[in-house]
Amino acid sequence: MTRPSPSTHLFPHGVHHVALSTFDMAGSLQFFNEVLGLELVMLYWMHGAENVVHGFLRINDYALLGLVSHPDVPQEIDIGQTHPGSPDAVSARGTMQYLCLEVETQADLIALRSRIRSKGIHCFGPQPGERVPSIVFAGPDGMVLKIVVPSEPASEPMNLEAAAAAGLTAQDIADLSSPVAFERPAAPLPNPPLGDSPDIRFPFPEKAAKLLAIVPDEWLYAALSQPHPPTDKPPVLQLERWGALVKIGALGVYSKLTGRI
Amino acid sequence: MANLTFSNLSHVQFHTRDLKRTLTFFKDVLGLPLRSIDWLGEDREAVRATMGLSDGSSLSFLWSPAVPDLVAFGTTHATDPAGLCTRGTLQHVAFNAKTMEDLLALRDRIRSHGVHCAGPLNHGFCHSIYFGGPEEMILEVAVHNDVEMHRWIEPSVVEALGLSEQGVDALRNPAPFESPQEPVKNVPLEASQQHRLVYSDDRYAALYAQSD
Repeated sequence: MTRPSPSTHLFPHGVHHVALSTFDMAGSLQFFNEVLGLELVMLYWMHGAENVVHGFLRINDYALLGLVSHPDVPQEIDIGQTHPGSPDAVSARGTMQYLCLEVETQADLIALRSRIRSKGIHCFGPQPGERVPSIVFAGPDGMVLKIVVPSEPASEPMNLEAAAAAGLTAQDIADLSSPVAFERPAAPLPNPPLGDSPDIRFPFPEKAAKLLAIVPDEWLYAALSQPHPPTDKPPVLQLERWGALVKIGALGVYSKLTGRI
Repeated sequence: MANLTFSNLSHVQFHTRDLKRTLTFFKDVLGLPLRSIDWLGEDREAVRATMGLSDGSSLSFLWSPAVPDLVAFGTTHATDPAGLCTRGTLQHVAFNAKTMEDLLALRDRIRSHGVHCAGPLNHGFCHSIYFGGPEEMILEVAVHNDVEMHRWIEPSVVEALGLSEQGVDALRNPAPFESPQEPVKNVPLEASQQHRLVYSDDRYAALYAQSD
């Protein structure tokens, strides 16, 4: 079973973590622990938020499954909008359809399926003749979970007819298959100028976004980093941090007055 | 028997209404290559495309005319990396950078495409940068710091969640599973109400009947 060979071309090396919203942090952690044998590695109050808990479970040496529970987390599962409910249904653009983990062998897949079913959870698959053997089941809070055994890529991975149906030409497919290598500039790039209607929303509340777009990176780092483990006592004097907060505040006021933001 | 472990996250699958725009973003801004594109399902209504990450995992996208054109901040989508969204939804995905240099190079790459990116911030166990993606996705790139993550198991959180010391111990040391000789069958159809995929009754019954 081979995967595409790692490339020296710089692009992210996998997923560091996913952050899944949950209502019952303890219950969800127990689900992943008992049903899938995942190990808890972190559990702390989220930085910069009130009463929000972050929990992380280990997938491998670098990948983590993260859970976030907020006291006001919306409860209502709206099939077709917030959640698809199954791998054969859809939900809103930009929402997750399912999360898929992988195990090394078919035997491992069947063993995991036995583990899931022994907890009284229906688990379906693998289908006979599937190129990529997979099993599917429901996780906490209505999420859909899958597990696969990685397999050889399809002999013809690009179906141009399907691509055309989705609005992509053969040229598009060729272009998308060959990302351009990135030449790093001599000095780090600052954020781009504030635009009236950016193509991609800077994911922060509007006022914060405007300020974040112009704050020097070093100030933000000093102001918002929380490098100390919660089990350590935080340093009493945090001059660098307070200094940075003051500077950011001043920049905010000045920029507002001059109409920059 | 040693505890069965996962080798990796395989992929996360997202919905999109504009497959070309979505794939182009990930190719241009993050440098991901398109690995596959094909029909999903027998009826040829949905198309699935996968974009590769360098460890062999991928991001996959499901395009279909049936995908709702809906963004409801606070429910379907969070507004920011610490924001609310409905239980069971994905608040954000963070990509892995192997080194700080890679993280900073990715930040340059992101910004060079006119996409705003905040950070890095040092969270103690990782450094992170934050930016937005297509379909109002929230994205992050993080690099692990060389520290022990268990130092982020906070006693006051454990207490607030009503977990005992044994409870935390069990969570940190999952029990191995003795896989029986014969594969385990599904519990009866009417059981498993709490964790159940959503299908019509007929379809669910058929799916159940098929499962060995």
